[in-house]
Amino acid sequence: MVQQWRAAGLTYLRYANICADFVRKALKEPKRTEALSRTTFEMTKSEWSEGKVAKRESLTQEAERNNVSSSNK
Amino acid sequence: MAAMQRSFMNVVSKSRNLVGSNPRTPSWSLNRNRTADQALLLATENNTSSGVDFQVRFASLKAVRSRMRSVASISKITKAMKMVAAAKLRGVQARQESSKPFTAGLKSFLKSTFSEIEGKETSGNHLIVAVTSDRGLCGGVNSNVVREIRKLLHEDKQNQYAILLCGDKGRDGLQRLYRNLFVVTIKDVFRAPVNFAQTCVVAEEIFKQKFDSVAIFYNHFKNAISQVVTRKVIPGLDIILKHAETFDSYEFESDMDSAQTLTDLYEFQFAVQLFDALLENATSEQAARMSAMDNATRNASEMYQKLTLTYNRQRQSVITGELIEIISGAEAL
Repeated sequence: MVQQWRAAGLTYLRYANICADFVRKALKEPKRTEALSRTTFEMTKSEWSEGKVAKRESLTQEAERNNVSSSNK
Repeated sequence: MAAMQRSFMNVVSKSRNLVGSNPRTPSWSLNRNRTADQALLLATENNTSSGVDFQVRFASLKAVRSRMRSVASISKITKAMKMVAAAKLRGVQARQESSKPFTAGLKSFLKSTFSEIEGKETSGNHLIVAVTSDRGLCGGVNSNVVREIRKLLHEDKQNQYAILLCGDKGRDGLQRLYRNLFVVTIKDVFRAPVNFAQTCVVAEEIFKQKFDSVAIFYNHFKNAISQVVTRKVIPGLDIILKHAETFDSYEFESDMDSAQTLTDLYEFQFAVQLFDALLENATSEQAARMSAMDNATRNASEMYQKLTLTYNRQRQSVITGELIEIISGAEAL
């Protein structure tokens, strides 16, 4: 049997990260932001071809996309 | 400020090249007051020279004093950098140690299952993953990695290599000779503490490349004073799948496919190994920065002492000169 995420073309790492993200988001508040803050990064990727930078792209992940706790107060 | 920065670099890199060692190109040349600096040169070059008149002597004193001030402030900066590095080292070391069991467990599993591949050199396309820091002033951490890679590329002409860089500092050392081998460079990897989500993104970048095996070059953190460049070779998925029959001895649930499970496991194991390498290198970077800044601070204080000596000697000779002038003037009357 082929799993649906595999059929959709995800790699295992992507799938595992999405799952982990859902678990983090299911946490209650003090722990939630703490856990989500551990997944942020801000990198720049450059692709090279024949000794020159061909393409630049930023690989980023924001800390918190929705401030549930502050909006619910 | 520019002069300050320049002399800062001097303390860090060439601080052993001290006062008067080479009069023509002094490593400590100060831009701010050129004439005074030249006067200082003259004075240090030949203290007994009678050609140096009063005003030049005075100017040289001033130059030494401003030089002393800048050396003192630089040593303050390096000291602060050392403290920051020490604090960061503690944090990143704790992270690294708590991640250890994960790497060790998977490593031993793959070692026992795929013992015949382990350690065997394969020929074909190789991908070099160079892990270097994003910021400088951290001792030989980056140049050691660069040197190992250069050595490998220089000696091995049969295989095809491609380079993927993590961190920005390895680029300078490699791009002059091997820029054609670059496929992807990723910078700002170490800006924030390294996390696993980030590592997965880097790992996926690696999987996009075609390779038969990957060699990760990073600094293994032995302790705070010694870091060793390590080459971690991970065979490619195709090679692992060729030996997949050893994996079939495990029992699978009915809805699981052994090849797919192996692929997933390989990906995850790869990411964990990469995570370990990144953490090790981050730890090594902070440790190396700490000791480099410690050395710089020590050199600066050494330099300061020597400058103080020069300053006092100059001051005394000025006073002596003045006294002689007064006395001889009085005698002439």
